[in-house]
Amino acid sequence: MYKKTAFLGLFACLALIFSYVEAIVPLPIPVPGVKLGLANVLIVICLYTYGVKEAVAINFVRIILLAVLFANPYSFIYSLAGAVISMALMYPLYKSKGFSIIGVSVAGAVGHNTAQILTAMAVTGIVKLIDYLPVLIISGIITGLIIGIIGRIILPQLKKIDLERVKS
Amino acid sequence: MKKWDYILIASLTIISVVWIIIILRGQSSGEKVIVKLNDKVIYTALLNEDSEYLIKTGNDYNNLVIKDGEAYIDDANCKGLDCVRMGHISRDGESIICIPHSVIVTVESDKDNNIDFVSE
Ligand SMILES: [Zn+2]
Repeated sequence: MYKKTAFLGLFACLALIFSYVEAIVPLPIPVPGVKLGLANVLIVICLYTYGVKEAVAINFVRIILLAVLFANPYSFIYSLAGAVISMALMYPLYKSKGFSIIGVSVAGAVGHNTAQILTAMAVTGIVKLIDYLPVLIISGIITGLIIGIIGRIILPQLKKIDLERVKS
Repeated sequence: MKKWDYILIASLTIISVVWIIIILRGQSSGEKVIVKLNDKVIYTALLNEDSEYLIKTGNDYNNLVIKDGEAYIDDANCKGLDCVRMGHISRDGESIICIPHSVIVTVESDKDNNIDFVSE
């Protein structure tokens, strides 16, 4: 139990660092507010090691801390929309067993980016921003592939450090 | 990777590429540059005449440059400078948005207005 709490804290912390780095480094596609969603690598790993409740929880902690750190209401709306849509797509694919961690993380990244564009459209009132969506879907596929591959490398290593005991 | 991974990635890629091609083919170049501050039009200029315009409210500013048939923000004092990074626009419907300053620069074609004029 204590070990699990420590691991979840570590995941949330790492996810926050990823988001922080992302907030500093600007994207080559300059749609206001849109981020790559690299923190999803921690969310995907958490989904596969502990489950959906834990993954949602660390994502929520990350978003709250991010909003407090940057004191930016926009950042909160963008991250929240990204997190909700991304998990809404990842969870059914994860449950279906027809997809590997790579398909799941691609769906998550594409969902994250789609949510960000929809949020930008809602915030600015500019419908034309939807033209950026296909570019962001492609960038989501690439991000999702990278995250999925990293997850596939890390998961067996995590299992090695006696996850069954960590879990209990 | 499983079969459905490939199907998902392939279909998303195809949809995006087709979508991008449709967007690029549908764009025609615009003629007018329209600057909106808080949803109100505050400035209009022609895209084919080089000019500069300082969008200023209090301490906030964005400097709009129109040069060689393209419009862009070359300088601003907003957080993040997203508007500067949005680069050059010249096609009908393209926009530069500065969320912190509530500024929107849009390129539009004159055609819509002409049709209105003729029908009146
Ligand atoms: Zn700006």
